[in-house]
Parts: sequence; C-alpha cells; structure tokens
Amino acid sequence: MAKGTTAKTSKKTKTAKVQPRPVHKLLIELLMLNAGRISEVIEREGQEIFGQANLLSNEEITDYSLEFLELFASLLHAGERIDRRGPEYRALREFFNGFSKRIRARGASLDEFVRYIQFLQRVFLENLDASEDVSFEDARAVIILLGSLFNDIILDIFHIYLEEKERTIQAQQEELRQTSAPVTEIWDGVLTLPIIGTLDSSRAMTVMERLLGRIERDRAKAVVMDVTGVSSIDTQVSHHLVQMIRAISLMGAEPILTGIRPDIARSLTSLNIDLGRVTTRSTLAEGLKEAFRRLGVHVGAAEAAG
Amino acid sequence: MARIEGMHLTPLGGGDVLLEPGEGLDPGDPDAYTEPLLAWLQGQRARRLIYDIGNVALVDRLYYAWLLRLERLCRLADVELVVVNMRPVAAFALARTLDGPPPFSCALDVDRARSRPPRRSAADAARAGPAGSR
Repeated sequence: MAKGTTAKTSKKTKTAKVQPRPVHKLLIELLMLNAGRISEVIEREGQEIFGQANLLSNEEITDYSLEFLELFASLLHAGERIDRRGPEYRALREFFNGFSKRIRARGASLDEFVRYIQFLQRVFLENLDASEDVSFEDARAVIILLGSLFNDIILDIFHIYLEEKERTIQAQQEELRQTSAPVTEIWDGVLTLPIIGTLDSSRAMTVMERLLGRIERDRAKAVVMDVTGVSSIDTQVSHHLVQMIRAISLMGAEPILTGIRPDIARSLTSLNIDLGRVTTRSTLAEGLKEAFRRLGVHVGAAEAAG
Repeated sequence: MARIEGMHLTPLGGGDVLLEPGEGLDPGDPDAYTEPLLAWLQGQRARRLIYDIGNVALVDRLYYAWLLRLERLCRLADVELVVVNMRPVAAFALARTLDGPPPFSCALDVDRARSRPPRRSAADAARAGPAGSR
C-alpha cells in the first residue's frame, strides 16, 4: 500500500515539473523588472573601482553602465543561443575592448577590469537570487550562460592585451636595435658604427642593411666599427662581424675594426677567426685617425693665435 | 668602345678599361668570353679592368664564380680587376655566402676605382727586384 502511494506521488511530481524557461527571456525579464536597481548597483560599484582611483569620471561611469546594459539587452534579444560571430556579441566585445583600453590608458591594471566583469556577473546572479519564481534549472542555465559569456569576454580582452604588450615589446626592441648601433657620418666619407650589447643574427642583419645603405648614400670611404661595447663574442657573433667587414669591402669602403678588448681578442683567436686582412686599431679614436690618414685628412691642435 | 657579346668595353685612358655587363652576358658560360676578352685587354695594354656591377641585382654563386674566373684571367694578363657599384642588397647577400675575402678589389664607383693607386704589376715587381734589395 505504502509502495503504491510513493509511486503515485513521484509520478505527480514528474508531471508537475515546470519546463525551464529560455534563459535569454529570463534574463530579459530580470533586466526589465530590475533595470533601475541593476543600473544603480553597477554605477555604484563602477565608482568604487574606477572612480576612487580617478580612472573614470562619474559621467563616464554612468554612460558606460547604460551602454553595457543596452548592449547586453540587445544580445539577449538576438536569441537563446549566443552567436559569437553575431553583430550583437561583437558590439559587446568592442565595448569592453574600448572600455579596457580607456581605463588602462589611465593607469588601471587588467585586474581592475577583471574585477569589474566579475562584479557585473554577480549583479545578475544576486538579482536572480532575489526573484522567487526562478527554479533551480533556470538559475543553473543563467549561471552557465553568464559564466561562459563573461569568461569569453575576459579571455578576448586578455588576448588583445597580450597582443598589445607584444607589439609594444617589439617596438621597444626595434628602437633599442636602432639606438644600440647608430651609424653616424663623423666626417665626409667616414662612418662610425659603435656596436653595443650582443650581436645576434636578426640584429646583425638590421645593422648590416642600414650600414650598407648608408655607405651607398653617403659615399663612404671608410667605416670604423667599434666593438668596445660588445659584451661577449661567440662563433655566431664573430661570424656576423666577419660578414659585416666583408660586405663593407664589397661596397668599396675600407673597414676598420676598433675596440677589441683582451677577452674578445682571446675569444677570436680561440675561435680561429682570422682578421689578418682587416685593419684593426685599439680604440675608436685610433680608428678615426687611421680613417683620416687614409683620406689624407690631418687633424691636430690649432696653433695658438698671436 | 668595343663590344663582345653580352658586355660593353670602354677604354678610359691610363690603362683603365670599363666593363659593363649587358643582359646578354651568360655567367654560366665563361669560356665564351675568356679568349676574346683577353685578346682585347692585351690589345689595349690594359692595366686595370673596372667591372661595373651596378645593374646586377644579386650576385649568386654562379655569378661569383664568373667573377673569380674573370679575376684569374685578368691576373694572367697582369690586369687588376676592380668591381664597382655593388648594390647594398647584392653586397649583403654575397657577404653571407663568402668563405673568405674576394681576390678582386672593390670600389664604390668608377671614379673611386680610378683614383686608387695602380697595383704594382708583376712586370714592375720583376724590374724592381726583390723588395728591400739594393
């Protein structure tokens, strides 16, 4: 008897089970019912995160909050499944991209942005918690949707952030390359190239390309390459040096190598690098004197007037 | 100005001769040029052959082999070979493939090549005797 009652009750429960509502409709409903409150909470938290650090003005925070709610609502209106390629999602992504760029330009870190996104997610969940007619299935679906949506946005922004960082690092490296081996015309037909740091393949190619271009442009007769600032020399570096010297000669200019420190000289001899046919001088000054001598230029102290 | 198939030859005076390779030059067939070129250089009493490489975009192994062959030919005729007007790109690429310095001289342009002091020829050296002897 008891068994039969239990079976009946269970059947009743099954038939009474409410089908979960489409999650986007549920969220739209939530937004419409609590728009004022959600907007107010978002603004308040925005002011706490960004306002205190003077990253955004109150007007900006209000504008951003409203724009976010509008874009989020249009994404929900677009359908139950979020289309990551759809214009609504792309608009939301662009919004957050612009937003993160602006706050980072004003000194915010990515942590603050992530905190804000997590907070937005929490606002919806808290409002969901407050509404009584939301079933467990509904809540679960909302959590899954919000989690996946906001995580994707965080990941997107993170990738954009990394790409920007990468571009900045590359630009800085390029700048460093340009400034660490400046080709200077120190006299008519005399170029100097002080090399500082390590001469790897990529840098050697850049330096060589610029140097050969300058030889042609300035019609250089002599090039003084100073390696005082080269920290260490290995097979690869010495190979690049020899190639540079050879290329200078092929262009018809005279290469003069200066500033070979004793430890570098030791490395060169132990690496069996033959610089026998290359003109070398101990210092850049000596190298310049040699270049001037070859050009027939005499540099000396002027005789005292009177 | 003389013309051997694939090259223009211009005597510049003072034993200098300018060689401008044309489009018809085949660096893969140096034998086709050695005999007429040597005869012409000897007829001109040339002391220096200035090879204008300005129109050659890339000096590859084949072209470099042709220059080496030409240098050997010049040495036989006691003529100095000076390569001029090498483009930066060509110099860059060639320097990366060379194992040692080239046996010929290089100058930025024809004027620079001509302003260089002439190399002491084998005949001069023979006339002067061993270096340092009195």
